[in-house]
Amino acid sequence: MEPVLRIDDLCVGFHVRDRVVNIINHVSLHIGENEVLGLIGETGCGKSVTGSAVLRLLPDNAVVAGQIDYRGKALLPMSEHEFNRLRGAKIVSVPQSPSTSLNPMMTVGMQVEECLTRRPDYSKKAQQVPVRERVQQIFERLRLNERGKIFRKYPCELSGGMCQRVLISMGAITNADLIVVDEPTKAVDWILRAGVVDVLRKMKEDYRCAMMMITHDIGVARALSNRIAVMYAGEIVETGTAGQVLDHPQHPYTADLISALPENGFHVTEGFMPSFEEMPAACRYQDRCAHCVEACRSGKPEMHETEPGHFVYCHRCRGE
Amino acid sequence: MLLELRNVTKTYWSGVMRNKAFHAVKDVNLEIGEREIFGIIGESGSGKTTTCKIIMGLLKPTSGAVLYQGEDITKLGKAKWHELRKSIQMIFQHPQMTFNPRSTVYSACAEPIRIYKLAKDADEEREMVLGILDRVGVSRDQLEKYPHEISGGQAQRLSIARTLLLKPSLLICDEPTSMLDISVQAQILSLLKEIHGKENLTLLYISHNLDVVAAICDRIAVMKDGEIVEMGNTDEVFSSPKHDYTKRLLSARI
Repeated sequence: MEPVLRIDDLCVGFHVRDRVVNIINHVSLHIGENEVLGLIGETGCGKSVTGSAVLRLLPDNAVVAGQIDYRGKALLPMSEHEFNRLRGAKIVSVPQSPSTSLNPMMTVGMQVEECLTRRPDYSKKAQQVPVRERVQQIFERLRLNERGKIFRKYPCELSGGMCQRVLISMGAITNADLIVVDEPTKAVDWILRAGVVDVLRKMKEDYRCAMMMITHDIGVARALSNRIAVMYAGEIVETGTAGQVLDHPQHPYTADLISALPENGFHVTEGFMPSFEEMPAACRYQDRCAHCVEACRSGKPEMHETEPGHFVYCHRCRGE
Repeated sequence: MLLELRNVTKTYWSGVMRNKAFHAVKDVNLEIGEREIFGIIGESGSGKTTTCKIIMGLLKPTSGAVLYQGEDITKLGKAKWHELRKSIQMIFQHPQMTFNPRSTVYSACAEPIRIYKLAKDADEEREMVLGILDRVGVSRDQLEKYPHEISGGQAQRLSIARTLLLKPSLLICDEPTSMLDISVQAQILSLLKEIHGKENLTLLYISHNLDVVAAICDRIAVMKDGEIVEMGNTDEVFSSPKHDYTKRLLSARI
């Protein structure tokens, strides 16, 4: 079956001064119907850049190569006009940092309404349900009603968790097909985090949309994702179902990441992620990896399927 | 007991007649023993940070007493506090925001030495700074950088380094890892744990992340709406919570 989103061999670089610094290196991913793909990795590994590439929201100095298909249509060669019909309607983003992503001068109700009224194909007459009614409905769905008062509130009057839910409602209101959620639980506290996870899960069930969830919170990824892709230094190192990746990690980086969790005794991995300007040519994890062998320094690891659906990019998995 | 809070209350008044009371912290009693790692957990707005600020002397409580080594520190004057500040230090939530953006990492680290005149001359000062950087694992080439050029994890290490220079006996950590991702969080936590093992240091660790608290704290207090609703050994509280709120908090674990 045709996946909702297929990313093939995506490379993204940025013009910095007179050179191009390569950030995303041959990333391939796919997201199926009603599937949540969790994209995990540490800060600066290129998760958000991948998300922005799908939404074509990268800055002007970005160089993008490869192929991104949405339901069989190539997104990258599309004209801006054509892509605008998809972005915001079928492909939607829920940005990170709710406190800075909302317009402080507009009530939140108006902002959510805009998602519908500013579409190029919007006409007031064609609406079966008034726009305002639809906004109220979605607020109610996400438990944001407070007796209908929330519509007239400004972002500064709401708590961080509520702003986050307003952002999610903006993603949900257009009946999107594919939602890119960027760090939904960053800087929210423990109870709100459980609330956000609940809302996202409900959204997945109600709207049956595909989701690309970018996060560094492994707990959230485990709770929501069907499949998980682990990213390190701009490359995918491991993909598989949530259970395969998190319970039986095959790549040393995934294993190290999971053992760094406080409940697993916060084991520290030596060293830091190499800078993108001086990336090692072969395996990018070679300097920090405890299992590094000769092959890791000489050649790029290829993809190995260790069990059905579980793909690992590591030399050590060859032939197993 | 190193630190004791007795019926500490902080009330803010609002309204036209100043007649609406809001109790940010209400009747808090707690005791922290020497060399203990004590955790305070609770959701945003439950009064964790206000409690910290009262202990640090940054806020005066409306009523109640804070006893540090048996002495009430809420009524101390400025000069006394200057001395006391050496032994009570704090690490903040946003590492990059605690540094002066206009001074280099070196002068930020040398500041406590200068304020407390710990070094005889510039050479000794430099030696002390370099020594402490090695302790916390920051490489020396970072010294001439400005705060915006270093990563969050580095900045948090540096703020730990700064406090260690003064050899504090009580270190208050206000969500030091909530802005950092897991691999960096692991580095910071094991650094704190290591320092705690080597020095005569008491930690007051504030967090909303139950996994972190469960991993490092000996005893914890659960705060809700300014009050402590439950207190006890970490294992006991986690395995058999008594208060409904604690149960709710634990069930929010995903």
